[in-house]
Amino acid sequence: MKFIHCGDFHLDTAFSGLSDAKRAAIRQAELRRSFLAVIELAKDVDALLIAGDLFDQDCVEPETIRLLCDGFASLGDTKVLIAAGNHDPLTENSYYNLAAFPQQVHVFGTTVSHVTVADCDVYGISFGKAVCDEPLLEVLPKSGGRPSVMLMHGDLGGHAYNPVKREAIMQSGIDYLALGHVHSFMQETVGKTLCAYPGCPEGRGFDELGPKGVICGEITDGGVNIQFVPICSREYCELSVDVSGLGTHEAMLAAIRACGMDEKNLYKVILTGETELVPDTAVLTEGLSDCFFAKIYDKTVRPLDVDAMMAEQGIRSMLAGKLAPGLSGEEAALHRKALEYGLSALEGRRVKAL
Amino acid sequence: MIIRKIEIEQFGGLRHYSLNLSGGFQYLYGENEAGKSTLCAFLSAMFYGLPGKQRGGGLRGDARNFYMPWGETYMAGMVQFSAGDKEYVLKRRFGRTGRSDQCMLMSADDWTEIPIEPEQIGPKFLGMGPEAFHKTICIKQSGAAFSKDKEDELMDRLSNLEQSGDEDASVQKALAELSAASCELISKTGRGGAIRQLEAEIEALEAEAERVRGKHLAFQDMLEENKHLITQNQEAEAQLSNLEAQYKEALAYEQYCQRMEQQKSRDELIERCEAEKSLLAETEKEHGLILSELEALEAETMPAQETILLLAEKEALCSVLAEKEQARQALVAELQTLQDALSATDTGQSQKHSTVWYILAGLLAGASVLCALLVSPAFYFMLLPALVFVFLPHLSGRKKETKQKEALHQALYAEKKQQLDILNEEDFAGQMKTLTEEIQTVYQKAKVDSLAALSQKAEQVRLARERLIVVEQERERRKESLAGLSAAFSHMTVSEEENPVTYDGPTTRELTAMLSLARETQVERERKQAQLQATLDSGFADSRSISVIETEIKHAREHHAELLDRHRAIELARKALEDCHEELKQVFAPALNEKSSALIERLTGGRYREIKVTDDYAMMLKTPDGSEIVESDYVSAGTCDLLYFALRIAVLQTLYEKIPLLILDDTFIQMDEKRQKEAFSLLSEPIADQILYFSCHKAENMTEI
Repeated sequence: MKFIHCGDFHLDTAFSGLSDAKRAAIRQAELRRSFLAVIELAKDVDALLIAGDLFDQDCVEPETIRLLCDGFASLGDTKVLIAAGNHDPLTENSYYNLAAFPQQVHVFGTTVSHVTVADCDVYGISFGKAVCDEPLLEVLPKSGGRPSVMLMHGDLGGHAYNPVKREAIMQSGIDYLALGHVHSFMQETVGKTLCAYPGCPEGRGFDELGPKGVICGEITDGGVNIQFVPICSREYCELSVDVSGLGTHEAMLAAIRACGMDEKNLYKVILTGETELVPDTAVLTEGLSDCFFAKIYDKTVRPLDVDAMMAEQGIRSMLAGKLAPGLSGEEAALHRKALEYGLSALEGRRVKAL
Repeated sequence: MIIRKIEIEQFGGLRHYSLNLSGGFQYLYGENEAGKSTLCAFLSAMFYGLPGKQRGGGLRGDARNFYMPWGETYMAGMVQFSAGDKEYVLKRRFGRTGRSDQCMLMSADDWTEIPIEPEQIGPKFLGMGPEAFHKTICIKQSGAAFSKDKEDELMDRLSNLEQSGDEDASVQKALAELSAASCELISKTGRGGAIRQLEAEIEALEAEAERVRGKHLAFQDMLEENKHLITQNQEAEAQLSNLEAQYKEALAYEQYCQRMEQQKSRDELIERCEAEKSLLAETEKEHGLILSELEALEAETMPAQETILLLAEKEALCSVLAEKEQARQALVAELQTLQDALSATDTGQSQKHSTVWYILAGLLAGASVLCALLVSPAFYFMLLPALVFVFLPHLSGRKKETKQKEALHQALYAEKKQQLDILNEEDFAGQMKTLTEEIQTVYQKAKVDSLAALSQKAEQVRLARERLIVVEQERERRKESLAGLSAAFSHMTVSEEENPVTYDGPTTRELTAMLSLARETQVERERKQAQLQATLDSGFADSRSISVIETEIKHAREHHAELLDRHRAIELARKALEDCHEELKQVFAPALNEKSSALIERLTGGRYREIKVTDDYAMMLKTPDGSEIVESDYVSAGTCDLLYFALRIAVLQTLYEKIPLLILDDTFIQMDEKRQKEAFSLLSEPIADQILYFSCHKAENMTEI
């Protein structure tokens, strides 16, 4: 059986961190295009396996339902097999029950069942609710001699969201465990079972860095072959840039660009180090406006020699003396920030509250 | 700093005014309205510019307009002064508004312009801002108390000086900046600020999320309904298919029945055609017979009906002629009789005569009637003589009767002879003969022997003709009928032999109604579905995605937390700085109190020894007996002026090693002579580089204005 293994589309999700509605709309359109790209890949296979979290939550746009129905309907003979995840559990009001999907779409129920596709047994089980700290199946279905696949949303070796135990996998003898939940591609062989996460097809935030895509695979009597196929339009990237000693925004921008940026991807730039110049993130963001998206996080600190300050005379010294005890406590960051604010105010500089 | 020269082009009431000054104490005398206060204001304007109009200050609150000379549009002047070891020339020009102001500072050594912002001149050379200047260096007349303002420079400088001469650090400004930053986040009322605004935005977003979630729930209901409609549609389509299949079956059966009917009709038609053909054949036959009969009849040269009518007339005429002939014969006979009668004359003759008269009467009567009937009714007139003949033998005697009879017979004979003559004029026999011949000719031709037979025959012909017409019409009708039947027959298709079809269900009509109903229901369902879809599509037209809203909520909460942290840090800094400030005040306040107390004691001659200055420059005094502490508001105006003069000097002495300049505008006017003397004594000490005391009272060593 040739298959496409995918999951965690989280359709109708907003794009975290994209405060610009226009860019968010572009990313949402790109997520839809990723779905259609998967449909195109699936036209040449026997089965499209969707391992849960197709929807981000229980509220789905009507347009999304139509996209899915039209996409699935265009697949012809390709079977679409879906196991619902924790974000889109198979409840009574689930869109899996409400939407009129084409006939080739099969959504596994909350008890394990199987369908046969091209001489292969495909087992599957869905989440029935959003939280599932216990395994959906204590015992995985046993291989019946034919090539077998288990499709489900779960946490391999984890403790929540359908924790899947390796022992259970080893005892089952399933050829391929098609998992969903983890948003990065990974694979692991447990016993004779190849377990794999395709990850999500399109990153949605800076907690989903790197290339994203689906798994193209084939299962035969001889075994399972899979290949990760990136299909995402853009990648989320995180850069940490030390701007210590840089006294101008231009120098900071140069340091940022030196880390390697392109126009296509989305960047989270974390400024670190000690600098007298308080970086104006708006100025730096504007300087990176040729990128699709760049967000600057100022984690720089002012070079403060509190001890030397306290040894001096003057109001600054008094202020440092007042706040010094807190610099080594639980709220060290708060006291340091207070000291920076106080010193800035005493120096006649504007204290930027916003 | 020492002001060397003042030149006023025009300022207030002073025009083209010049004043040379020197360092140290200068007592400047001028009468009222000489321009003393104007000079003070001029010096203030030169070093600190002219401010905008103060609210509620009236004309006096608007120094620019107050000092603008009548009818002029500018004020201008020059101050020459020394600061440090340099000489400077300051020229300024003030227009009606600040936009037209001009300022130029030059070095008097080399007459080069020194670039400086106008508002920096006072702070640079006098070391303080305008508010502090007016609180300390420039002391006006009575009511010279002053209070703390928002960015109290004096307090800042006092605070900083106490530590290390860190004059650049303004605690008040820093506190104000931190307060402003804090208020940016949470306003003083606690209801405004970015944090509160963000909280309101979060609340609004949560409400929006709730609304959209509600819409999605409704959407789910609609999806459910849509799915239900789809299922119904699918069932309805199946039902429609069944109905359509059944309809086809019913139609096939009805068509079969129709064909059977047609076949039956065709057969009936064939029968009718055959019947019609045989009837036509009969009609043709009858036609042939009638035609033959007619031909036969017409072959006998039937005369025309008019001829027959003429014949009838002729026969009638013949009869008339025959009757006339008979009448004529009768008349002849009568005449003969009459003649015979005339010949007879006896009694026997009289019986014979009566009998003869009776016979004559009878004949006459008969002839009269006959002629009247056949010829003319005038002949009825002849009945009269007949009557006479009857009564005549009884009326007259024998002779008389015989003569009378004879005369009567003669008259009668003459009459009859006349009638006979008339009748003889016509050749009745000849006419009759001609007519009879004509009639006989016709009869011969018609092969009849009488008019009745001829009429009968003519009647036969007429009847035959009529019958022929009828038959021909009948024939034509039958031909048309047959042609119609044949045409109808020709349009009938010949049905092939087929197996019988059975069907036991609703008719096509019923099925059409059912299909129509089913389709209507389907259309309605599709309309409902389309409406649902439109509602689904448009229902979210003005709604944002729930995930967008929830992400915004998440980001807003993160930002809120970040701002709260900032607010905490700012408040912590502000509190720390306030604590530092309080500590500083704790330090400098005693020094200020001490200086102020020493001056007060000196100036009041020991009456008041201890004063305490609060951070808003209020003063608390110990009463002379030391038993009470009173506020400065409760002392006399003169004492109050003195107190604030002492405070000013104390502050200036605290801020400066040597006060750069003191400008006093009749400051001691409310003091008694003793206190004035002591105050002047103080001013005569080298406490400042230059002291300018303006007064309207003459004094020793004065310079008249």
